[in-house]
Amino acid sequence: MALANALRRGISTESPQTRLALRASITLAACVIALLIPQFLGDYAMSVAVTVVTYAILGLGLNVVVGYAGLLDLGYAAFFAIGAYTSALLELHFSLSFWEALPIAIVAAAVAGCIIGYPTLRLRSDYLAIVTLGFGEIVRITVTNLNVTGGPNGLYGIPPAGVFGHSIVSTNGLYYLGLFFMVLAIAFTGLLSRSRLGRAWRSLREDETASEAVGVPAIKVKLMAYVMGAIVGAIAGMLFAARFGTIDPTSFTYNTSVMILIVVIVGGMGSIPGMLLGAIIVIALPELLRSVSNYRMLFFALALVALMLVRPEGLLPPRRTRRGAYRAQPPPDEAPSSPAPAGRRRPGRGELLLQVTDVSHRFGGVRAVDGVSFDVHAGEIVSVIGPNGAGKTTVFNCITGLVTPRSGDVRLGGTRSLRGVKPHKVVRLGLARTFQGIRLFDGLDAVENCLVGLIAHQSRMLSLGGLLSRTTREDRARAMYWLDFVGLADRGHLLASELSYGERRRLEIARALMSEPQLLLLDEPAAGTNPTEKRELMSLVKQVRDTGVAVVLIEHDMGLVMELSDRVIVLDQGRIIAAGEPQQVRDDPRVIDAYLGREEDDDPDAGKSVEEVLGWRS
Amino acid sequence: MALLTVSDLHAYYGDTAALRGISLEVEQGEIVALLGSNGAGKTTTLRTITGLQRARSGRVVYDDTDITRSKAHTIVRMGVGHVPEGRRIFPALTVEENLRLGGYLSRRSPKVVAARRDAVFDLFPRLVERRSQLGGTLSGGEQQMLAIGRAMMNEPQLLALDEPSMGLAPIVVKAVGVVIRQIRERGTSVLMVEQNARQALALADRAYVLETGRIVLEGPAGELAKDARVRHAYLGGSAEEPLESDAPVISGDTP
Repeated sequence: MALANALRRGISTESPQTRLALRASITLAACVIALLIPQFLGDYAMSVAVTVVTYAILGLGLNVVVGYAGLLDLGYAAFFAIGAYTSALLELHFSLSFWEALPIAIVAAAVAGCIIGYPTLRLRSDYLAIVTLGFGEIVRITVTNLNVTGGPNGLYGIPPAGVFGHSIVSTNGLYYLGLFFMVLAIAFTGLLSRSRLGRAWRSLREDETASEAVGVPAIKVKLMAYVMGAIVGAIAGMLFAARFGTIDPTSFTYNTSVMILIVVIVGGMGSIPGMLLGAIIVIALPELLRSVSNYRMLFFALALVALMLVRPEGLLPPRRTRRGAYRAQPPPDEAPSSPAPAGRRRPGRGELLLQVTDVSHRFGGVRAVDGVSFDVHAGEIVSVIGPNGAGKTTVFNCITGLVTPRSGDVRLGGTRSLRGVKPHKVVRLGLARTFQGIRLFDGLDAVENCLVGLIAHQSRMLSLGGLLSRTTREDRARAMYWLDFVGLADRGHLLASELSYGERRRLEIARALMSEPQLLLLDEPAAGTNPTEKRELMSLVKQVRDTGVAVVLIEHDMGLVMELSDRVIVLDQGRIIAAGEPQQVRDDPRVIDAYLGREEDDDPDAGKSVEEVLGWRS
Repeated sequence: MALLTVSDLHAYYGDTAALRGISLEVEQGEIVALLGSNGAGKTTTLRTITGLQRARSGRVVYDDTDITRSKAHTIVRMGVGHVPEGRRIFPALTVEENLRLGGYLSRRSPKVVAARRDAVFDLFPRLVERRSQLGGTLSGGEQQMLAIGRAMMNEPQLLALDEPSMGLAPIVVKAVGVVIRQIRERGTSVLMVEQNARQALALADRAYVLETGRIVLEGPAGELAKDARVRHAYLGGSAEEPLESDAPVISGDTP
């Protein structure tokens, strides 16, 4: 116990440098062992090692889909099959070499990734799993029934891979070839996880709606996960075909998909070293259990169950954040005096920014929003108040594209209609929002949360090259600028979940400001804050307004509404029942009846019933 | 003997201390408020009392029985109701089904369940009109009433209310105040967590102020409402100005 505590303390206080050195030496040792094991192991053990390497590559590929993007895939063996069959057919019928077939097999797998990805993009979890399961079966059944793929007998006589004129047929040779591709897969997926695309995947995994609302093109980004995963899987398939010289459909069954998924889960979703360890365990462990012959799969299954109970997050889960890296930097110096050039025109004060015209929307038979019209001008703070269920949030959702209104129009700058425009495009046009219950990416640190918000800002980033590129110094400086703006400059390295409630509210605003909006929509920003946090929030909203951004807020706190607003709009049962200056609205009898209530009802002892207070019964 | 006695309660989230020695009492028929900032440990205190969160040390005694290590459902059976933060009604079930689940522990005697449901309908006539509507389609105020009604289905002796006015329109906040008074009149004691200190102090008999897992102030609600520290930190008014001159909730008072 004491030892365990001492160990834990030792680990937690070690400096980033020590940790880096430790990691480097472990990596070096692993490389040396990987390169030297053919010297010590026999042919049989080496053939197991080749299988381990193949499954490590498959695990790395599936890890992109499952670990990074959080999309379940039960038919991943399909890409393994596509890689194997495409290369085999090209080599057999077109006499292409292994290396010539490689890029074509990759393209074929990427196309297949698009095909499986596209119909599944709107699905989540269970439904998605069933569709991927179906896709895996379709591929297996197709190759079983086509003549060109050799039917159930498969293809044989596939030539081995050649390197510098030598055919690679020995087990050791195959092992080194596999190792080469595994290192490529590690580099490729490692690059992906550090890229903007990797960050977009993590944000989708954390909260899909929130990431769309800050500008992540969800469909495109999810499709990319399937494509990238498919490419890696296809390479493993080619390796498999070149190794055995023969392939048939029984190698690519549902079982294979499940084995790959086990590699990912046992290793630790999202972790690269985890995939290597997972492959070793899933492939090598049953071999070690051969001594108990008949029961070996039983023992293997028991070992898996025990492992999942002890370490549900896998053996080597990814480190939660790169907090050490941030802590080592002196954060405040990074904040520049002004943000990098926005590239978005700052509207002049009083200019028409948003025009909501006769917007109506229904949910089922309920009329949630009923003919709502209002304008917002630059430099204004407009509050939307009203009873719960009056349609305030639905109005926000109609404006930001989360909901397409049944009728009416929302125009930005008086010209551009936002009807049917997707949430991530609405952000790019200059309209950012926060959510009623705070929706941050809890597993990402504060800087990362802001950086996700940056994806909206540069449309170039939505191209492949842009998404694959790594975060630049300017990106980080911009995130630090807005963190500093909301008073969180020293909190950048903390996970969003580690921040206090008030800090989380402010981080959500910083993330929204990263897209350099012209208009900021805040949904109940003061809910659950105490008076101190509320005062800080009010001055922050004023500061935002002073930078030229118009603010529309939904709020129940009348103290805040009265002090901040230039204008107040009151909704009740989907309709605007009053609009105007704060004082005027507060004294409006309709607003008092529907929303504010009478002052005498502040005394709970007055003897009125609940229904009387609420005006449900007079 | 108080109905509920909490002594020196400690609770942790992982290695982080959430409660560092909370002691409090709720007498029969009292309304007691817990005030404090976010993260002060108010919700954790409620959750530890009702068995949703494990105490590391300390004691919770309810009705002369030590319930520190009791399971949440046992504590409900003993007569402690819990209305969680954010209401947590079952959105895909009807109002009636939500209430029936609240009476789950009496499920073998349908007559008792029906009688208690009628008592809830008596408290909230609005729910009668909504009885076959799905919980998720109710307005925020109606949902709060359903959540309280669901807890009342066990006829609790003590009701733990977590932020009952959060996210509600001012008029509904006032109605919730009336409901809490009515619940007390029916013989149920109330332990409530509130961010809206003004409303809580107007309702409660006594209050405790929490900061970073400790109780820093306690006393009759009327006295705490006059306390300069409370006024500054939780009521949003300046320390000089007397509470009485403050207009109620809807005033546009400057901080």
